[in-house]
Amino acid sequence: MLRVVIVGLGALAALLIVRSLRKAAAEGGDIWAIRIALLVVLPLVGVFALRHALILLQGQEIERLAAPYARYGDPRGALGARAQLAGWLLDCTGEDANAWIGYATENGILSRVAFAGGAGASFVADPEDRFDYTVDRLFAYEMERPRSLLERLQPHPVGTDIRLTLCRTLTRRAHEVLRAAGSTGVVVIGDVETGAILAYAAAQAPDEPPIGVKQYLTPGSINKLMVAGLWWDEGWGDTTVECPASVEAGGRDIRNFRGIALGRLQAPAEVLTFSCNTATVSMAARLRERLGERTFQELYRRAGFTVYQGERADRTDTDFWASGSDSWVRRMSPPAAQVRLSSGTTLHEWGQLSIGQGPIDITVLHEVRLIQAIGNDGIMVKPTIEWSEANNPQEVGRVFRRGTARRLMEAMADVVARGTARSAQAHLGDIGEWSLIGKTGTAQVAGRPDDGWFAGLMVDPDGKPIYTVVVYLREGGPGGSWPARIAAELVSDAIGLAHTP
Amino acid sequence: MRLDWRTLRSWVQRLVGRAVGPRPLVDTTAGAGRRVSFVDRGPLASPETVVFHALFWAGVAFYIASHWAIVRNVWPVHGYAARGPALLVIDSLALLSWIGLLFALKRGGYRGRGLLLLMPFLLFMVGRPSVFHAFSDPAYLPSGGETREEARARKANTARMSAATRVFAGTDRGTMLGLDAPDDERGNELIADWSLSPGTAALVVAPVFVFLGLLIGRSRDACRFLRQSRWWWTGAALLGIVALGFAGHRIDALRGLTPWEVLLPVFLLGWASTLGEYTFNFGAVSRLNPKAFGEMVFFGALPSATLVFIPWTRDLGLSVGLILASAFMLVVSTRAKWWAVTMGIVWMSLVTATLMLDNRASTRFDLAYDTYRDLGEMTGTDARSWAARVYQVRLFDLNVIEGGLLGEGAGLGYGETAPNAADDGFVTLFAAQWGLVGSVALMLLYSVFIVEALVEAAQMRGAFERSLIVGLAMLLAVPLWLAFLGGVRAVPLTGVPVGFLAHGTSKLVASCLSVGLIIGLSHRRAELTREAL
Repeated sequence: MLRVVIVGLGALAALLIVRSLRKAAAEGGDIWAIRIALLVVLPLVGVFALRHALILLQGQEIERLAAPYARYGDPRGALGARAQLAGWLLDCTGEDANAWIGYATENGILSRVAFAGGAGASFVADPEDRFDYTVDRLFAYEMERPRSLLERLQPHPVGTDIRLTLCRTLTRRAHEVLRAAGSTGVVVIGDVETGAILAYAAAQAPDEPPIGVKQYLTPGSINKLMVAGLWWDEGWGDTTVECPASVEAGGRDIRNFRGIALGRLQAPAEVLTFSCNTATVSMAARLRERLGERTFQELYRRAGFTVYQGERADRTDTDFWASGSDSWVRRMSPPAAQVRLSSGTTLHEWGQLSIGQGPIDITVLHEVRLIQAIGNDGIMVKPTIEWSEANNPQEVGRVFRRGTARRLMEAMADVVARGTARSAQAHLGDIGEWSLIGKTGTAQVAGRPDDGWFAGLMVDPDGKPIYTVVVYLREGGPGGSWPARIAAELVSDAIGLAHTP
Repeated sequence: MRLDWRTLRSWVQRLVGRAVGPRPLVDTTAGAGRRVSFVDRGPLASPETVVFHALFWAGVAFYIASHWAIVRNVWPVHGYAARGPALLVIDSLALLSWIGLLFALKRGGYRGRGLLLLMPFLLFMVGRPSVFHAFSDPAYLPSGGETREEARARKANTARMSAATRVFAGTDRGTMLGLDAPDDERGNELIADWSLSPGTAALVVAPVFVFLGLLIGRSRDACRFLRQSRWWWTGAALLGIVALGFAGHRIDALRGLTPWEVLLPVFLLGWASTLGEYTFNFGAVSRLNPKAFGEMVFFGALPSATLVFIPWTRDLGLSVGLILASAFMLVVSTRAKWWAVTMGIVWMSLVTATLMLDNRASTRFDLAYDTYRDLGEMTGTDARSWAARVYQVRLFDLNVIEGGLLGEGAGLGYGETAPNAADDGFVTLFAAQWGLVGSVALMLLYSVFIVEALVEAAQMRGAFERSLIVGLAMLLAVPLWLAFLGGVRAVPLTGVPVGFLAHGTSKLVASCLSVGLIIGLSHRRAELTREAL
């Protein structure tokens, strides 16, 4: 209404000027005064209006040019940011009491607080604001969006809450267990059916990229699941294979862990149970001989890998997340899982690939997705951290046949029951009829001790896999028993979750 | 009865006439040798009266509604300065004071140009709410020992709390955040500051200076006395400026203030007196005798030179204003083209001299036309130094951009975060709240006053009256141009406030005095024309 008044006053003023000058010209009098009015006063109004309009037209460019000056003082930006009341970042429960980030009042000061402290620091929100890729930062735009049409009209609209699939209590527990291990590493727990990430805890330096998302790792023996999966997928039956201490591939030896021979094993199940390198190499060689490289390539592609020849592709997997946030996708899409596989792959390289060494790069999140596919009867879905997305899971495709997935899970159960992860049983605690199944892995990295892996599933009393759990510990090998123990310690916390998508 | 267009118009005019009163308040059509409209037209209202009342009531409505919007919508959100309630009272009194002046002049039979009287009132009505907003903002001028940073933090917290209270009060989240507690329990109670500064008091008494100027301007005897004794009071004013500047400089008491601004109308009065006496001599070089030349130097050049060459009274904005006003007066009084050219050259030379003598002048040019230099190409010290200089201009730019076409509304946006937003950068503060359209409207309103003054000057027969009105009009117009064009970087910023709009006590007093003199002269001319008729 006031704008109408001011516009009206301006219009009336313009009319009055014209009228005054016309009358003055008609009535005569001193011409100089009229000349000043016509040649100075009115042109200056025009100059002002044009220059003002020009600044508006160049607004974006001026803001761009002025942006570097903000670090020398920006009261406007600082006041705007401080006065803003962004939405809360809620955890999987959707309750304020469990919020990741919200507000708290102390001595009359309303401050934005990261309630989870260090537990969410490397992924959700860092109380010390050291990480530039946290959910809090990347979802800032969404949280600043006014929560209603009415709020848009307010001088300081209240932002929109965002509910994450990440559970604060479970993440805090994972963080505690990880820190107790005293090693750099990551724990990720996900929901099998929806792909929702329920916990992400990392122990890492702030200057490192997010270790579970951005860092290429060698999967080690977890990759044996791919060989075994292909074996069953192609309808090959169980057979007996020898597990010698070492096997020759392409003129070079590939050895078992600690150089031990395990005698004759039921393949592929017992090969997974005891993680026999030499038997896996033999199986992979036999598969290549019968099926060719193309079948392997197709399997890896189904599992979300980029299969390349020659130089590494090094592309970002922008289709990885199910997310409504462009910022999140842009910043937190992992590098594409990739494997170099062709008819030119040497026998030795082929053997190394079968046990997860050599030219194969994967991230922790890709491993989570692969295990999720096994637990979900072979169907892979996109991971997500957003509750709204988790309620509409986006299917990627089928990686394994249903029967193959079942057999892989049986073998994984055997790994924990009597295989390489059996030491984890002592750490399961009171989990009733739930169980933990999985596969251990050792990744050899030149110049430092081996990394340790455990990629598993938490299975409910009905035998249905509910949660994925992947633990990666840098220099946490050899063998995956230590990561497996960490996974085991988290089962009782995970099965207590009441709110999952 | 015939129902035709003329009858209808007559009814409407009768209706409007009853609403606004039977007698037109003013005459805006008075021209030399013409019948003027101050005669009673009975119940019919003239279009001028309708326009006058429309402008008057629109101004009052805008003033009250803007203040109301700030107090009702902005104060609860951002909080307010301790002086806020006192300012509200002062602004209310100022409104009454201005209305009282208009009423007194109506009752007193003012017959000059109505718009000359109405426009300053209207400008104050439209511009003052933005200044009120800035000065009642809790962070614009922090008080009580609080730093600006602390004040901004408090303001931001108040904004958050109010937003949170609006949305979450009465909910579980509101309870969790303690939003249901009263303000004093939250530590937000505010102790109002009712102390009165001279600047705020001037707002209320400003119309008195209009009246004072009117009394001088309308009185032939007073003008004659001032013309005859011009040597004394111009000399005293010059000595006063120099002494005030020197003393203020020595004891460091002025802090950027220019109290001698109130003397500028006095200098113009002296110069107009000289022009009135020597118009014939100034009309041609051949007629310029030593006495006339001496007066030209003393009354026309010396006051300007004082503001250009004496270090402790030097002021770019004021000197440009006074020089331009003096030059226009000379041109208008002599009606000589060659003076226009000569004055143009002299003016350019003096401005150049001012810029060369003023250490900050070249920087001001750079700030206007080469603002956003690449900081990456500078050393750390240079970058910091340049960023500090650009600081104010950058925030002015952002104010303009924020306002866009129609602005954020009364008291809204972040215009007040710019330093000196209520004086040097008033136009950008106004632009942030009322946008391009509002700013142009404001400049047009101001231009109405200037054009009306020039048209009034054109009707004047005497060189004294003619040149004085033009000079006083230019004294108001030049700061307007400098400030408005400086705010959008069309010219360098000079830091000169605009009368009736921006904050500035001496400027307001000088402006009121100038307006008073102008309307006094206008009234006298109308009276003379009436007598002649």
